[in-house]
Amino acid sequence: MPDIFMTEWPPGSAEQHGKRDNVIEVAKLMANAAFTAPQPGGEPQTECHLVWGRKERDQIAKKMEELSHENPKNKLWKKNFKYEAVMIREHTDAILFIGNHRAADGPWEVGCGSCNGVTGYCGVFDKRSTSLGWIDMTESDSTAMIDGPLCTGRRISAFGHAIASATWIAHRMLVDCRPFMSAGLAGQKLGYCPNSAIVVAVAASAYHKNPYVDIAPEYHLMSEWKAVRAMRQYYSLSRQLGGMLDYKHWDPFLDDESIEADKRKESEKEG
Amino acid sequence: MAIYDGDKTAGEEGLLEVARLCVMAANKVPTLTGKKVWKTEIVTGEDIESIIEVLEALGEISPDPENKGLMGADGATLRAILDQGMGITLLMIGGVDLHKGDLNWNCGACGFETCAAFNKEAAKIKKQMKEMGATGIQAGPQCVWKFADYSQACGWAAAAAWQNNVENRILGSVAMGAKLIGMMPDCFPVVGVALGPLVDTWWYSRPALPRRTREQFTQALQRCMPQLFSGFAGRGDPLFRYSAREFQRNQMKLRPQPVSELIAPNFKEQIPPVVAKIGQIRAKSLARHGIEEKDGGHSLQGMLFTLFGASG
Repeated sequence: MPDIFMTEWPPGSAEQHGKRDNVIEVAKLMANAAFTAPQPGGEPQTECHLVWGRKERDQIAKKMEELSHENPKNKLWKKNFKYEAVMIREHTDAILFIGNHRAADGPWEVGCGSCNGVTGYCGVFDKRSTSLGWIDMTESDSTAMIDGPLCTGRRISAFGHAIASATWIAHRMLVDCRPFMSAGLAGQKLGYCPNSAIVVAVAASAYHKNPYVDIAPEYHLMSEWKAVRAMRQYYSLSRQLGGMLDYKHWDPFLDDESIEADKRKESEKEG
Repeated sequence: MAIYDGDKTAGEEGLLEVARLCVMAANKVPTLTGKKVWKTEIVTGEDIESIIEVLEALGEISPDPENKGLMGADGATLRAILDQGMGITLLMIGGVDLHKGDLNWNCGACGFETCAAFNKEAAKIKKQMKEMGATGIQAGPQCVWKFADYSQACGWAAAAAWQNNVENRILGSVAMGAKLIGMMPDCFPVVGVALGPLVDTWWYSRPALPRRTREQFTQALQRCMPQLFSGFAGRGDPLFRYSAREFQRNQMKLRPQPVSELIAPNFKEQIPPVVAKIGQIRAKSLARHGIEEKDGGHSLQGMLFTLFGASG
């Protein structure tokens, strides 16, 4: 029988991947839960995209850092995006993107009023280009980060239930997770959940400390990988201090007399 | 040592305990916004009776008199639980300040360019509602992200019930009934989670409702999925294939029909007495809890506005 050795360090190692693979299995169950979540009208409207891998995470994190500058009026937005980018890049084992593919062009026509405030009237249609009773998204020229309006009262309701079911399963499996608007937006821009008007990323991780909660201020500068990087920057200085002879013949933690004594003993044996 | 009747204790204290667990679960949900945008209330006893009375009253003015519509059907399903002496507890989850755009994310998901523009429209709607005498209620606009978090809380509450093996169903009708008797006046939307009865698939089967006939099912299918009954469209006007042979002899075609033709002509006349009846149930319920209705605030008219819409 082969054995699977699992540990969380170093990142990218076979043994770290052994642990990561467990989280991927949980993320698949999370996707199942998202699909079976209660949905108004019982209509199919959810899609999921499961992503893992260092290159993919880094690409998403970089996009989040880019998007951190998209809302200059909100300083907290910038911080949140930068911090959450670190969470995705460093300690996330798997990312489950959850999207709703009917939110923009398939509102539930019950006239709940959640989108525009007037009950009895489905306001999403008013702000969209339509033909034959259908919303034509190919005519949309929105420059907003998310192409709204979306069907709030029903599609976003189902969207929330789907996220809830996914996070519930993660919690039941004792896997740390958190839903992120930031990573979802980045993932959407990168093409994950390609048919969805709104996407949330549920990041999942099995780590010794919850990476989505226990973080330092200025986390994008004070992260674990940054700490390792900083340590590596100056580590070699210790051997550049000078006063060090060839380690094969000398060590400052051994006195010269004991080294010479060892040499004499060996010589005598040979003699 | 005491001996308990299993069904009785589980149907009363047990369901109440599960309702508490559902609230705990809802409050533990990992949110997108970092805000708690919901509140909860647990309803038992006489207040359930009041909600059922409201649903039964609303069922009287349903355009579907046979099945009493959504409201009446849910009312009948709840009534059967009480009549059969089974336990039921209702959990209400209401959205708080969803129409306040205070995230400053300016993401555009709501259809407004900025949260400030969203708030401007929300204030306008609020003013309109007040002018119509419908204060204390506001359907929208609602922040997409806060709404998603509110829905997540509902999802975790329902999941908690499920994991405790309690029959449950999220019901909009019960929430409407609760609002109409004056519960959770500042919340919108509200959903009601029915916990119980201790019967498998009660809310799927709904044994208290009359069974539909083959003819009724056929008609419902033809109304709901006309594409399944469409004949060859080569002439640009396909036949309605309602029966494998009959449709060729007595031909019919699919045609749109205005909804107004389907509603009873005296529908609007039926509304005032039902509204008056609901007002009485509401007054009784508020008096039971010693709540004095605020003058002009959270009016019944506001609640009914959400039910019948602007045109109603």
